[in-house]
Amino acid sequence: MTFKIILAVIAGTLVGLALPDTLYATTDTLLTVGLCLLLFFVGIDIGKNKNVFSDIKRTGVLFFVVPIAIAVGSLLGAIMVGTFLGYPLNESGAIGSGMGWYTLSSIIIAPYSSELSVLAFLTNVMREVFAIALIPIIAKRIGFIEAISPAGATAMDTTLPIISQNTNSETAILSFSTGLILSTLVPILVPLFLFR
Amino acid sequence: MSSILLYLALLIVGGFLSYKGWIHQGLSNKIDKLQLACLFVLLFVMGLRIGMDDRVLDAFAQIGLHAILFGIFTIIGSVLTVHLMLKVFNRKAVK
Repeated sequence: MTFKIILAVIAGTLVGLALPDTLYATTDTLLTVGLCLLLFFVGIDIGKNKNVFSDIKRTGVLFFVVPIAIAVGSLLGAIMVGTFLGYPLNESGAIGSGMGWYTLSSIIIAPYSSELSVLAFLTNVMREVFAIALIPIIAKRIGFIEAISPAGATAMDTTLPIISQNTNSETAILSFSTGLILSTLVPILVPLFLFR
Repeated sequence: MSSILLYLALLIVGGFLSYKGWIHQGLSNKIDKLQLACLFVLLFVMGLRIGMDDRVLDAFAQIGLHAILFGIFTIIGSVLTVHLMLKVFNRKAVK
């Protein structure tokens, strides 16, 4: 899946090299329409799970605490390294708000700046790759709930199998709800940093 | 700002309709494929923009290095914050 995603971006880049710059504005409209459709479909997908509310009740206070802590931590980490590398605060914040959901965060950033969009894409691809490698280690050495943190928004889909294999069923449910909340936060936080 | 509200509204409307079972079964069954199709079109368009933008191509190696650093630090930040929060809420560590 990750390979196909990267391939789609590379294919687009190669075609883009041959296209005249006058078409740049058209891509804006395409992105907005496509994103609207995608988010509507994501909503339908989430609503299909009828156990969503009873699953969530079982996780208690951690339901809110864990995603908030992950969001705050990601933002702090991104702002820290971003300041060191010379990025403005709002750009670092937007990168950190991606929470590992590389496809959505980079697409939202695309109308703002292609350069930042590539950085968001690569950063969040890296985050997912590192998460896959680190989750088993963190689960073993630090704790089950901490093992959800590197996954960010992917805790409900791509990295969920890894989390559930390395922790217990309670943590897997918490992982799903955490991913769900963080996924909802991505389309809110990323534009909040960039567009006023 | 208006785009945030639009995205969120569509997410909620989609979730509500589907939770209530008001989405046509045929559409609901194909939702994974529709999401994938949308996603790939969007990724391709994103690629187009990267290809049209000379600044990005010039800075690719630097962007790659920064991406690794951002990736590592967002992970460290979130693991530390969750760890501290659990201490605050006095949850014993489960291993």
